[in-house]
Amino acid sequence: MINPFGFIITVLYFKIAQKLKKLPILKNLPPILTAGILLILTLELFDIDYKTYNESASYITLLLIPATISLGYPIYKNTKLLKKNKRIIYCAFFVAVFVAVISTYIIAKFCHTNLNIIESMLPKSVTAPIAVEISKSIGAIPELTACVVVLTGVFGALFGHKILALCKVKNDIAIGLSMGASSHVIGTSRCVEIGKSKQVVMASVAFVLVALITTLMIPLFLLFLNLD
Amino acid sequence: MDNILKKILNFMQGFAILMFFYCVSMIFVKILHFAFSPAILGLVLFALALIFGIIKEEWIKNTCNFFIDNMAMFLVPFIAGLLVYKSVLAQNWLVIFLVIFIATTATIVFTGLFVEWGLKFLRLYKIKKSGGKHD
Repeated sequence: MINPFGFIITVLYFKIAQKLKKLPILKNLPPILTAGILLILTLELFDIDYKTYNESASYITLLLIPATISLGYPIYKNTKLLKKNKRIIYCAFFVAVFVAVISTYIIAKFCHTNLNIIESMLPKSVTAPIAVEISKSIGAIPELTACVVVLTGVFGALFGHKILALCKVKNDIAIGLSMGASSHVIGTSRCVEIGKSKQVVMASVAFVLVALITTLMIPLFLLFLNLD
Repeated sequence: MDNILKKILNFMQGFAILMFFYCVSMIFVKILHFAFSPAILGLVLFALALIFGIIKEEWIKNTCNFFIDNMAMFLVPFIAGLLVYKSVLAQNWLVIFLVIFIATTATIVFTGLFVEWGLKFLRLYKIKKSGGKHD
């Protein structure tokens, strides 16, 4: 029989994190991060193996499949909005992928990082399942890729809206595209939490198309640099 | 009681439709040997099916809203999963920190400003164009 510990504790901590968000001190902290920190602390404090936890928690992760497909619904509801702004939207995806890949490469190169590690970090703005596939296909380290992808998403979810507010970006189309393109599904879930439908639609479209473009662009980029 | 039963059946119907699209995408990915997530391909096919009227909105509306509203919870185990990569993180912490901090900020800022200014420019261009016609 499967140990239900992981499933129960994840749902419980997420619900607690949602309640904690109502406190003035924690109002800016996304529940995903609060719940994640609580989970890590629990697993470490009680010396619980991740495998034991994930035995039933993996069923929660499985629900990400229908949740991702569900994002087709807000896209359908806003097809007019997408058609109206199609030129700027398509250009934005190329800007996002270009900046994400080039800046990652330059920073890692500046730190004299090993080539294999640079390659592992290139798909950092792509949603985890695809990023891991890209990483495998270019011979990088999938574990490091998965790690960087999750941390990028968390960073975007935590600071994305604040950074955009500092840059005086106020348009919901711009905010949604930026969040989805930089922080994939975690950034999109932050837009869902904020509750602005335009942002959710744009973020959903962005993370899907950025994944597609990055899948094609990274091998070309490596070929161009003669790194492959 | 009837109402609750109807809601449950409606939810199950929506869930079955979503999983159908996942299965179709899985078959596509397997046949075409395409390195792409079946869930994302499923999203594209699902959106197209809605746009072309193959699926009716009322069949999936409640199920989709439920999954979208709870999406963040499904990602929590990924954060706990970072524990598995403790050693990888410890070995490369500085470069990982710099890449996440600088490269992600750059992507957020450049994309956001590009779209914000692009939309403003297009709006001004349209106003100018329509103003020209009036003259």
